[in-house]
Amino acid sequence: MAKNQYSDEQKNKVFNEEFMPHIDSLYNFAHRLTFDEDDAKDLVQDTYLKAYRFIESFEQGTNAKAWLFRILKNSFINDFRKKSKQPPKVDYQEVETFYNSDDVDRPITTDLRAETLKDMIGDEISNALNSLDVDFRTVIILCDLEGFKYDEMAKILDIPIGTVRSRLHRARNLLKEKLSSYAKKMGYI
Amino acid sequence: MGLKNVINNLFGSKEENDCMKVLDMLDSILDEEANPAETQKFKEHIEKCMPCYEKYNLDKSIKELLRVRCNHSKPPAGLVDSIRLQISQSGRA
Repeated sequence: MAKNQYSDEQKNKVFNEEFMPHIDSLYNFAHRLTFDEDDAKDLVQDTYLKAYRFIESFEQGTNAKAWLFRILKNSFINDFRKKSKQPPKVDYQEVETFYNSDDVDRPITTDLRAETLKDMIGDEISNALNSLDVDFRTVIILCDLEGFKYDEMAKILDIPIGTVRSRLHRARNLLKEKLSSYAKKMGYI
Repeated sequence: MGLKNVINNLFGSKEENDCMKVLDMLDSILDEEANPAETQKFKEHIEKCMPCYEKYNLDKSIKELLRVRCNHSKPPAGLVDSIRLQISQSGRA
């Protein structure tokens, strides 16, 4: 199974130089998935322990950040969601079917203007992001916060690139609707 | 493509069709996934089309705001040490 044989010294070098620099991004991702500091900490710790255990399947010089994000996302789905007593709030299949209707692809008409966003100096954008269903939230985090390319996102999420595109498009429309309703509530528009 | 697109392609004006084609590229442009020809076409269009420029500007501003405002949760002190400790213990086991 193992692709590469590393000495302990090499393992530590890869771990320190290629894996550890991404801890801030991984923690932010974990925190936005779980909304809990302790759970986020556990998830990041678990990700690094797994990365070390399976370090021989990591090709040096390839994208360590994408590899770590993939491990974290899988841990979240397989371990964390199972452990937590609450079932996921929304069944994703249902959401995908609903949002696959033509209505969502229609360019949304919004009164929101770029200038209005400048007035949102508080946590509105962060709250709007957190209000999205986890699968939509995830694509925004990977693309807009972390700057992953579509092909990297496809690998991290194990979905085709076309699904990355459509999910991202829907996520952005939902985010805009949320921001627009905040702006209305605050009397900006 | 939705039914609306099909109808617009059949009956819509040329301008509307141009806007729709350009807006289909919006995500790729924002995420720097479009090819040079698409990028060129997009740039030329938004220079002369205010509604499309505004849609682009809004999406671009949201993308920037997300990057600047949503990256603030930092790992708690001690997490790095705790990870290193666990790894050195697992190595010895």
